[in-house]
Amino acid sequence: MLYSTMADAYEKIEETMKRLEITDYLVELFSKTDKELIDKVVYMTQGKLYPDYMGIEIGVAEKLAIKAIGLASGRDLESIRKVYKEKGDIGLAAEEVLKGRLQTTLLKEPLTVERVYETLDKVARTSGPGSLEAKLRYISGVFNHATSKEAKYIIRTITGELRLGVADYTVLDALAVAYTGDKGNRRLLERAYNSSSDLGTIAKTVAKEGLRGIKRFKITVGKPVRPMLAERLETAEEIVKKLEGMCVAEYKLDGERVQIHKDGDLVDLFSRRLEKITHHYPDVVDLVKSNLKASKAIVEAECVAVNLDTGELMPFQELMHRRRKYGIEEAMKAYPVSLFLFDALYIDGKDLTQEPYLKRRDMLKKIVIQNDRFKVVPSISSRNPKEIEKFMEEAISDGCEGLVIKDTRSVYRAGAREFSWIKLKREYRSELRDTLDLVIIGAFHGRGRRAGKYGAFLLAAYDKGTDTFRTACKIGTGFTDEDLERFPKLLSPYKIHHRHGRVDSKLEADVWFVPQIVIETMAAEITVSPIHTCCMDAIRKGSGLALRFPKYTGRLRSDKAPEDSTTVDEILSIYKSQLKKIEKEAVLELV
Amino acid sequence: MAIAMVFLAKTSTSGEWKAVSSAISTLVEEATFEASLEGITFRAMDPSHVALVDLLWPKSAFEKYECDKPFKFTVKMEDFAKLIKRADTKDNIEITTSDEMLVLRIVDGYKREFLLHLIESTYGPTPLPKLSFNVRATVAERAFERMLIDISAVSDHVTIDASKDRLVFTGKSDIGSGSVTLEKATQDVLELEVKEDSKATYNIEYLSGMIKATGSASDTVALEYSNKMPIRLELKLSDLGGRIHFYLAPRIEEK
Repeated sequence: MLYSTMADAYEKIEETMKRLEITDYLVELFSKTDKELIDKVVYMTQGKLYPDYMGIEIGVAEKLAIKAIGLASGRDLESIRKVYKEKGDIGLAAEEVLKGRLQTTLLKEPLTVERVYETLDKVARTSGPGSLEAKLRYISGVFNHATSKEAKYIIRTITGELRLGVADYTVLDALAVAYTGDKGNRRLLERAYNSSSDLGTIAKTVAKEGLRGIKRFKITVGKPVRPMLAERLETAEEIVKKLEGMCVAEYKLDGERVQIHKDGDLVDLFSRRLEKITHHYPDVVDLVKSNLKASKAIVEAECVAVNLDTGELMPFQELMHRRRKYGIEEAMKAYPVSLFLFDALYIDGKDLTQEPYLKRRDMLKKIVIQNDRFKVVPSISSRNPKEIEKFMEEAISDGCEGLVIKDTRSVYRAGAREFSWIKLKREYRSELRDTLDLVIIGAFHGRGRRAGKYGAFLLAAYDKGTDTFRTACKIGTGFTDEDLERFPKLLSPYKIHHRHGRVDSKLEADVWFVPQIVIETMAAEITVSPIHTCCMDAIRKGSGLALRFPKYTGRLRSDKAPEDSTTVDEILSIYKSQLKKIEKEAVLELV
Repeated sequence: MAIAMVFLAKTSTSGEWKAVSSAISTLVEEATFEASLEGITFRAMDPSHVALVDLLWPKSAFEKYECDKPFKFTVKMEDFAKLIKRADTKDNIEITTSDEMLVLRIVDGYKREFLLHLIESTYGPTPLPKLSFNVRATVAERAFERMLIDISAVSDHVTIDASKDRLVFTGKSDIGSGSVTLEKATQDVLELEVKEDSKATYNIEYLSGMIKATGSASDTVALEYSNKMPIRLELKLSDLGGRIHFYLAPRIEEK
């Protein structure tokens, strides 16, 4: 098949913005395509060579692309850069420059799709020393046989700038028309797509086996399932009503959603956007291998950065340090993670996606060996909006984004965003800009590197009215190794066997102190919490105020008496003055 | 595949293999040699199809050559060249194959043996361009090499203008121009046959790459071309025989 057939179709698609017309041009292209090649043609119209989850990108930098144009055209790089600057598009620049190419070739053969695909594939797979030269030769080699129009599209493909606007659903429409003659069959193709995330294989299947082949499509370990997504409502009451009371509320953790595919000792991890992210998380792979009791499984989890010494959850920003190309081992040590599992799609030969949520949860629980770093996500089964709101506050002060409330009867609908999963997020947030001086009234034994020392402290604010100390947070972050050595000595004179009489706490500390030592702390925000007693009942009945993501600044306030620490009234007034409605996120939603 | 086969190619110096290996390395990353009862041949085009190398190395040009059955073997040039470089000019080189491996022995009293994994060839056969030449000249290798260095001082490409009595090489760019004239019947131009005055322009990087690779093996360069058509250089492998043909497509003259 000639590449010019594709280039002609690209040209027509480029000129229209209308989805229906794009579909028509794709149908025309597909019907001219050999069935053996259809998968490659489909990938290429989307500027790819493989389904996204394989993580193979052509990724040629502009600089190299310009060099290749130079080599193929015999023009100097300076003049090519000038044309590129004028045109503002690398494809148009290649087209223009190659029209006036100066270097001829010994043999000229029309470019085939096979040849272009093969060359781009080589470019994508070449790495290591000398790979730039090799890539340069491959690309300029293919340019030598390309017409200037073909070169325009090839260079856009290799630099990731094809952008024809051919969406997945447009391809599915076109495949339905081209191979079944009925656009209505899109639904069937879509279902197969949602469970395999591979348009090319779908295309080849429908081209060669028709709808029969499509109907046989099953979810497979190794091919990511397009994730089921959640809708959003404003209040717990609305959600309970929508789900007719058949609901389970789960922590919505502030991490990265990961789809885990396990096949014996082989573990692969896919992001929400179906990128293969296995290599970022060797620790997660190990956790799965040792704690998931199924030989073959597809499960979903939220991967969250944690402080292993204190068990605290860390904000999303911390986790993002893990998405790096180099220094993965170092990042693994500096930013450890825990996994909170929430769904099972496939276990040992059984496709669970058509099972109701509760059944899937039960199956999941059976194969998870729970521990600190690998567990089923905290949840409650409740039809009481008040109870759900309390759970929500708990989730927020634990560092979660909110809750996801799920219909206990719902099946797993791959790729769908429906009201069977509903997000509940906070409407308001009170950011904290100032530091607070709080009193240490208790401590918790450390784990991991902090074993034998204190891992975290319980801090309180002063309530002048009653002359008591009321808890505002548990804190474990911001302490250096020296601090951890120093604090037990500093606190030992004040150690007591029971909670101090002037302390009001719902939490049971491992060690209690006489309120004496004051430390300076920062935090991301102040939030309503059912766990802490500071400002109890002031905002909501049964809840107090707490610091979210608290951190020790390193400053010991030995100049301050405990009664000089920040008061509960001050915290309440900061909370009220900083309270702002949360804008709907413009950035990508993670569940 | 365990087919008993005899193959042995021995040269008394390493110069031939050095020339062959560096000539091929300038164009391609892997090379498929064809060994037959008559000798060794090789042909490949660079991926951009601008240049082509065609090697003919007859049995008679080896000190010893045995092959009872034609076969092909493919090596990664980078690795092959590294091994060839281990040999001094006057060393014997003996090449055989065994079990998917190329065996390379370098002998000069101090015996060395290297085994190199053969690889799968990823390219198909290369056809030769059909050409007829209106100019044929034999030029001293040293003069040709010096000319390329001179012209490259002003340009990336050289225009060769052949008439009855002389060859004029010119180069032109934004910085200026230069020319080198080689007259017929001097020590520099041993032969010059011109059916028709011809002029064509070629990339110097390709030409000098090839001359550098093969220069030490050959005293002369035979060049053949026609107006605005590809050029073919012929370089001798050794006095015993064997040659490399190097084809290069012309550039289009800028107006």
